[in-house]
Amino acid sequence: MLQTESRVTVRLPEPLREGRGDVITMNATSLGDIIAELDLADDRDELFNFAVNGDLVLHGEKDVALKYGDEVEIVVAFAGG
Amino acid sequence: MSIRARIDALFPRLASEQQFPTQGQTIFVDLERQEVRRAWIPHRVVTQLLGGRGVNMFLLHNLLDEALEPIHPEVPLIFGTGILTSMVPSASRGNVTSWSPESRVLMDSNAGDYFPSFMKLNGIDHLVLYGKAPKWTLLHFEGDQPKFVDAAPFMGLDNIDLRAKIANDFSGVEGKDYGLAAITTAGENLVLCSGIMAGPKAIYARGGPGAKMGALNLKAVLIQGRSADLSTARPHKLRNRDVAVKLLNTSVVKNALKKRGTPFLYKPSRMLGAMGTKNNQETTWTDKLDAENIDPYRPGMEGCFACPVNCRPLNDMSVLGESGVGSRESETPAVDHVAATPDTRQPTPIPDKYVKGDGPEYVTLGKFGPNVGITEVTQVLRLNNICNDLGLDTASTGSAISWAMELYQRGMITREQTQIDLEWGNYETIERLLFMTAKREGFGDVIADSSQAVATGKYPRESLDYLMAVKGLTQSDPHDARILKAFALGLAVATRGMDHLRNRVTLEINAKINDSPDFKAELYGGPVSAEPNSYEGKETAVRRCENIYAVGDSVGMCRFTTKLFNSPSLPGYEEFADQVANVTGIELTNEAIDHIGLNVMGVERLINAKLGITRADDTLPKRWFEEAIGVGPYKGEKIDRGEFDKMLSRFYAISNLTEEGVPKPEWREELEGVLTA
Repeated sequence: MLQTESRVTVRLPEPLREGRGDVITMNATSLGDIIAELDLADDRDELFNFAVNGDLVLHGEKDVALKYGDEVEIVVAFAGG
Repeated sequence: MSIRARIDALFPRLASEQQFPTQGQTIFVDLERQEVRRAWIPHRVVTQLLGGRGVNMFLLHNLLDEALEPIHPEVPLIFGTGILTSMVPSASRGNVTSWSPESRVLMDSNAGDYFPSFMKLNGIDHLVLYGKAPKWTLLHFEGDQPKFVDAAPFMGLDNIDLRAKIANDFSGVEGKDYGLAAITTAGENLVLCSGIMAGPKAIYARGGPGAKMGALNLKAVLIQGRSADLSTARPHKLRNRDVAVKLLNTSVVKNALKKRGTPFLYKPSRMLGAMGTKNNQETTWTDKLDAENIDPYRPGMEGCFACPVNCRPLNDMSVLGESGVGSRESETPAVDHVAATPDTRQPTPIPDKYVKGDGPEYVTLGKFGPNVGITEVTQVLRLNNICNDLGLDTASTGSAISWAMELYQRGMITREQTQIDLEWGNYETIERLLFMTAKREGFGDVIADSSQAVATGKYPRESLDYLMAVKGLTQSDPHDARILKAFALGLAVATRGMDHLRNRVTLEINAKINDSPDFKAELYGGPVSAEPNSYEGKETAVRRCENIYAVGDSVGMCRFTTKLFNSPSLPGYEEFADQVANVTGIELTNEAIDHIGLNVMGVERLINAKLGITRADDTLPKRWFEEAIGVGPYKGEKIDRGEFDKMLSRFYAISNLTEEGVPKPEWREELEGVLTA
């Protein structure tokens, strides 16, 4: 039951696909679950930010709660020139 | 005091011989009298300001007569190359400095491609140009020896044709045999939003350098050869390898800059609800302009002199049989401003020279996309290519057009006045307006006045309420900074006006760093709030960024590959100090090199103070204080005047500035000792 209720869609940027395709689904109740699942923890040099249902998350990302059907996108975020 | 008298007064304080290995000369060129003088920057100045931007400020401070007008030929135009330019990976940059005819404050603009490197390769660290040449001139250096060449054959040429003719007439390949800084017809016509082209795309863009150079009757500076003895004080190539490995291993280079370049940022900006749209009346726009939608038109990437990153996307619309002219234009008669424009009455447009080019950067994507209401990638690409050819600063030109469009929308200017339809997203008008601007024709003459259009009597005074500018310079970055408070502070205090490249705390959007308070405090030298929209501690981050970016400009390092601009892992003080020591023999601690960054800002503030700039000018556009963001996760956000003012005071305090934003008396005395001793 839990698996169905916590299913979310995650869109991956090219550098993170690694044979996984550009869209995956997984069980996650927070962004922290996705970070753990994709092994994205703690590399502060990485430029990947999360957007949940189109809204970019700029801090407190591990604690952002997710619900069934949420669409998460990982975007490359940096500043331009 | 005339410029010649000022130079006479300065000369005894300059050195008469090289001060360290690899140092180039400072060459003073009187274009009016065709006279040349040479000197070296003294060691004591180099240890306080390094080179490039920093030493340019030393020269400008000594040579500026604020009683003149910025465009006056006795206000010098100063090219400077970084102390490490051409000698360290990704150090390909140099600055051009003067009094801005566009903003009327400090003008200081940075470019790469090839020209700054060819200065260094020929033993020219600084080039001080003044006096109006009796006729249009091309200044041709063979090595460090200048010749005054009649520029008549090159007049009226824009960037593409000019560079082709120079290559032909001087028998060489740009970037291999020579470097070229040149103006287009826009510079010839003193267009205030025009720049100096340092390559096919690289432009000394901000503040109207093209107009400033045009006012000297100087069409181009060509530096040919590789004549300098650049033997270093100590071996430096091994350390160069470390620098290259370090920068190529950072995420921003690996995953973004090398692949798609800066257009990547469009998507996060619009998702945040911070994409400057329709002159910042709105803050989000179509996903059709996301970087991946440019992929089909990108045949490859290019780079500046000896840079391993290659972050500049090329574009070519002919691969899909497109010309960049949008569907709207295909339904209307062809525009008549230039013969080379495709005849869109035909089913398939004929590709012209704007079908391919170099770019766009994120700034251009934003300024000629959402900011003017354009939704089609090909239209943005084409406008980008036209701006590159016409030598127009896409930030200032795009901002001037969006300002006009908002005034038109509000009825503050009318069709009767403009003679063209300035509705948002009107591609034909925008393309046509670019050519009109370069020629100062019709309403193009108003756009050509950029932020000065009120001062020149072309707009009513109340138009200033809608000008997205600080200190007379329109915003460089299309990102709306009502949410990000460090970014907002940076835009307010930047010495050349509203420009992110002086001090933007780019990592303010990096959630991982925001969620690591200890690491963040170490990075910026003090606690900085994790919350992007908080005012707490943001001054600390801006101070640290402003210092390191000023140092980067003084050594010649690209901003994109300087620590803190997008990454905590890029080369920074440690690498700069090591390579300054290896190349020049000058030993600097990390603390000393950080203080040099502060010094550069301090001198710039002294120059601006001479030009009448006060605390009141370290502010933001009215809209950002009064109108809230209407979409996205930070809906309702704007800048609180009280909080902003307190943050500004804290910034002054940690920057050793008075409450009026100038160096405190003791520090001022120290700086003036360096500048005038």
